[in-house]
Amino acid sequence: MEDIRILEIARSYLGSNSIMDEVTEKKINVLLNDIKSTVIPRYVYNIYDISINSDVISFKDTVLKIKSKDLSDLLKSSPKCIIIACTLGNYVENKLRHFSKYSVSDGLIYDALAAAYIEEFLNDLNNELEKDYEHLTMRYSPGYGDLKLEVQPILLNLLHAQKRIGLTATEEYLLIPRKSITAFIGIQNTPWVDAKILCDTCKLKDVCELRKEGKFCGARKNIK
Amino acid sequence: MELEKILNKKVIVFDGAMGTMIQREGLVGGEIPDLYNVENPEIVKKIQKEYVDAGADIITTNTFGSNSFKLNETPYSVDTVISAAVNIIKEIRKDQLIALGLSSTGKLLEPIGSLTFEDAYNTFKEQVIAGVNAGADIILLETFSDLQETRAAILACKENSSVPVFCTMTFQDNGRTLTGTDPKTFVNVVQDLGIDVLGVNCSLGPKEIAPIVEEILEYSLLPVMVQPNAGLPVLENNETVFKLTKEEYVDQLKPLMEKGIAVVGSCCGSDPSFTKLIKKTFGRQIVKQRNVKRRTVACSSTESVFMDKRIKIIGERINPTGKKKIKQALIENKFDYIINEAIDQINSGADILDVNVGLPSIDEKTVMLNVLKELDGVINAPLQIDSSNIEVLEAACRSYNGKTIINSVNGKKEIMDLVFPIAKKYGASLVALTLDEEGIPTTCEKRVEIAEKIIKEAKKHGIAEERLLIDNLVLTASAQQEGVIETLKSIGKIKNKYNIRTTLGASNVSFGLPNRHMLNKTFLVMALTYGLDAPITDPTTLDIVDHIKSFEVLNYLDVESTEYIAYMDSRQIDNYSNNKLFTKSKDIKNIIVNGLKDEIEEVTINLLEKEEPLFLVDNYIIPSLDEVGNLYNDGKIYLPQLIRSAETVKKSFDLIKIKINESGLSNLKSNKIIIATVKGDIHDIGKNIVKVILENYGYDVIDLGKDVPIDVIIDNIKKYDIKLVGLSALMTTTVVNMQETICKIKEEKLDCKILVGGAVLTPEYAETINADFYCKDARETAEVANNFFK
Repeated sequence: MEDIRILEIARSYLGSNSIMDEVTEKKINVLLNDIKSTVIPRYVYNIYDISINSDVISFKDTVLKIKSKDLSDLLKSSPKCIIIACTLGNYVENKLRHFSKYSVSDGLIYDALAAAYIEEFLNDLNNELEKDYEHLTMRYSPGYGDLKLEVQPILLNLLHAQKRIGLTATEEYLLIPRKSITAFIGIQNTPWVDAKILCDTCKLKDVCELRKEGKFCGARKNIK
Repeated sequence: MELEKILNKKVIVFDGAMGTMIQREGLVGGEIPDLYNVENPEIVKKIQKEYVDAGADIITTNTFGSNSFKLNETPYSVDTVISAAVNIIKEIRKDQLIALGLSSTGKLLEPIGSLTFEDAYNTFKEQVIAGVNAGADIILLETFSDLQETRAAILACKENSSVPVFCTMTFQDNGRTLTGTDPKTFVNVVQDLGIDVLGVNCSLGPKEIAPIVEEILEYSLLPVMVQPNAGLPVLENNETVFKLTKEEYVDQLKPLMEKGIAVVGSCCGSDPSFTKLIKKTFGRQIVKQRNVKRRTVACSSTESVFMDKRIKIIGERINPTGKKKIKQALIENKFDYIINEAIDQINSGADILDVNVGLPSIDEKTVMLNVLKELDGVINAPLQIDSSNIEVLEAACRSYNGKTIINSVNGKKEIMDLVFPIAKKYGASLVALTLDEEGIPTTCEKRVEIAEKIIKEAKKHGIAEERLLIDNLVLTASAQQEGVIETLKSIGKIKNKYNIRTTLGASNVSFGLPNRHMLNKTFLVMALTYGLDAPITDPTTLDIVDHIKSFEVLNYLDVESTEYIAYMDSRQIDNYSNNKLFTKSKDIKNIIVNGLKDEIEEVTINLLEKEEPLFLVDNYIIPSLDEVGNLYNDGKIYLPQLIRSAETVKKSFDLIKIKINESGLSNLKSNKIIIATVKGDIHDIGKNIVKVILENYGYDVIDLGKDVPIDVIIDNIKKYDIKLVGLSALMTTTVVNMQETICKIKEEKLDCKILVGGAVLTPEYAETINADFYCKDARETAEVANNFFK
């Protein structure tokens, strides 16, 4: 993982696309080093043969069936699909709680760095997976488009995520620990090219500050 | 098999994996294997018969997920699935014991998750009763990764059955569980909870698990159990497989077994052929006995603090006696201040923190439980529970996530009879005051006598002397000068006679004399020289820690003075960097705009000596805030700096408020605003930023926290007669709870307006849900509030 990429993503979360004031930058470096030396991202994934019928994706040898037009579109050329769950774990969660009491400004920076860290980690992991499983589509997570959050607990169950990496979902389908990502990634035989999908299907497309500036949020970063 | 006859004498063999075995029989991904007990019992029976034939001494029920949460969506009750599981084994066992296999609820407990300790306990209780009623001989708690959940499960076992309890947690390759518990802390916490066997299972193969097991063997006074996986998981052909052969497995286990393992089995990826070879190789071998050192220790869930040769500092600041700000914080339920005191003490060098929330005007039990919960995970140091109320002690010990120290028990029979059972049940250590029915003794000899009485009585309750910290009580030098040395002598005497640790509150002695700090420091060093192990003191007081560090050099504890040198070096750096910034900017506006939190207090104090507080606010603070706001709007500074400025202003305000109150000016009556993140949502950074900004503008912000139930919001609106409420939500699924909250508020016809914000919100949606105001960020919130209260 490159620090530069992590910092770039983190700064964009903090509302800047360039270097900020001296005190903030110092704090960013201290906290990034803290994260690098203490956080172990954990992940678990499995690969499933899938079949799609009328916007319903069935995962072979499992109880999982998902109805989602947007996910079906993404996976339309994928005979197989990776389901992946990743988390930065409890340590980060406790650190965020610590900062929420002790220093909200530090907490803001730490939160942005942690979010960037897990994004970059997954981007790197994506590149690794791409070597073994050409060709991968983009990552698509519950909450995107019409892929409902309700699928989280089923997905976590399938991967034994609670046991393997300590990742759970609340009754409102919120992932805990918070700095966590679950995603579907299609494996297709030809290179994946359709990049329009994400912004068009996002609920915030009309109010998104980044989109107004012609930028993308972290979800699109792994697009070449 | 008669367990008591064999346990810890000859090696006992458990069965192997069930989950992976059922997968081979066609279990589909996402299906619950436990349901096979009811829907396909022949398959379960077949597998377990193979384990019986392979020679297993104990067979585990197929009930890894048989709790009310996981079975919720199925047509079966916990009792149905568990009794079916037990009965299957009953049909095929010969002299094997049946182990009720229980594991995690699958949910994270408070404060990180939302599952309460009580709800977790009740889930386990339900399972325990079902299993024991059906005929289980022992209970196996396995594959737990969270210490608090483990505690709930153990208590559920101990309070609802009398069968032996075996408890294994699962550790990752970094040597900790997923929620951060290391092996020795696990051992220290659970081994005094009345269980019979402890150990580790799953996640790792025998080779990787070895260092974890070795640490457990070093600390555990109980027999140790291991059930590793058949190696590390590997993804092969869309399937997760474990690659060790049974021969490799047994080979890798051999060196561990020789170190004293009493119970052995196998976990994921294993099968009856593994069990057969394990039984052949290790079954009924003599268990190597270990000589385990007896240690005095206190634990959080992530850290063990041992009272060994080194001095351990117990921080005393969290105590309302004589501390106005703490009193205020406790009365108003504003725990942030207390959390900050805790963090400051840790940063100053405290190893353990004493927590006392005893105030007549509050519900001590509820407040204590809330403070403990807030501190859990935010600091890593163990906590010492300080209360004279038995109910509070019991409730606190029950829910404390670790091994606490009870402050205190003493030599009075009545007190010992009440407190020792609590310490015994929850595995707590205790501070023991050497006073009895006759009061505080005057002589060294009497103190030693009482200490002996306490030690003897503790033993009767099954509490060994290493769980006691003797506090010989020092009175004031002003009233009983000749008594001071008696206290010190008794420390030495007791430590000579018994292998026991001592503690002492070192600040009492100076009461009533000038320059208390000088007397306290001197007394501290004298006490340390007599053998004091754990002074209860204020580590944030100038040079208390310096004295302790110096003592450790001179008493040859800090070998080659490495720690002392590093400590003194780091203090130099702090001073230097503070000075550097200070010489650059003394101007208060500059300090606020740049968010220099470390410099604001000195400058504010200086200004308050020259000017009236309100003059300061109007002529320095407000203009600076306006400047910061403008710079931010113009894109010249960014959010982190904005918030840091706000925090800097807050620090200044805290001092200004004190001055205003002292000078008897009419209390700045501030408008109250409630803020909360709605039920189901735990995102709170935005809300916290709003809080800091609103406080800058003088509002009294009542922060109800996150995941706040609707009725809590309603109750607080009524309680404080609130006119403005701010709600935050960051998920599409929780924003509906916002709507519900607003509905309820309007239903109750409360005279109160609602302001909403959060990433997923839009002005249109805010209108749809009947909110009165929509704010896109913290500054807009402040503007709206300012206009509202005009």
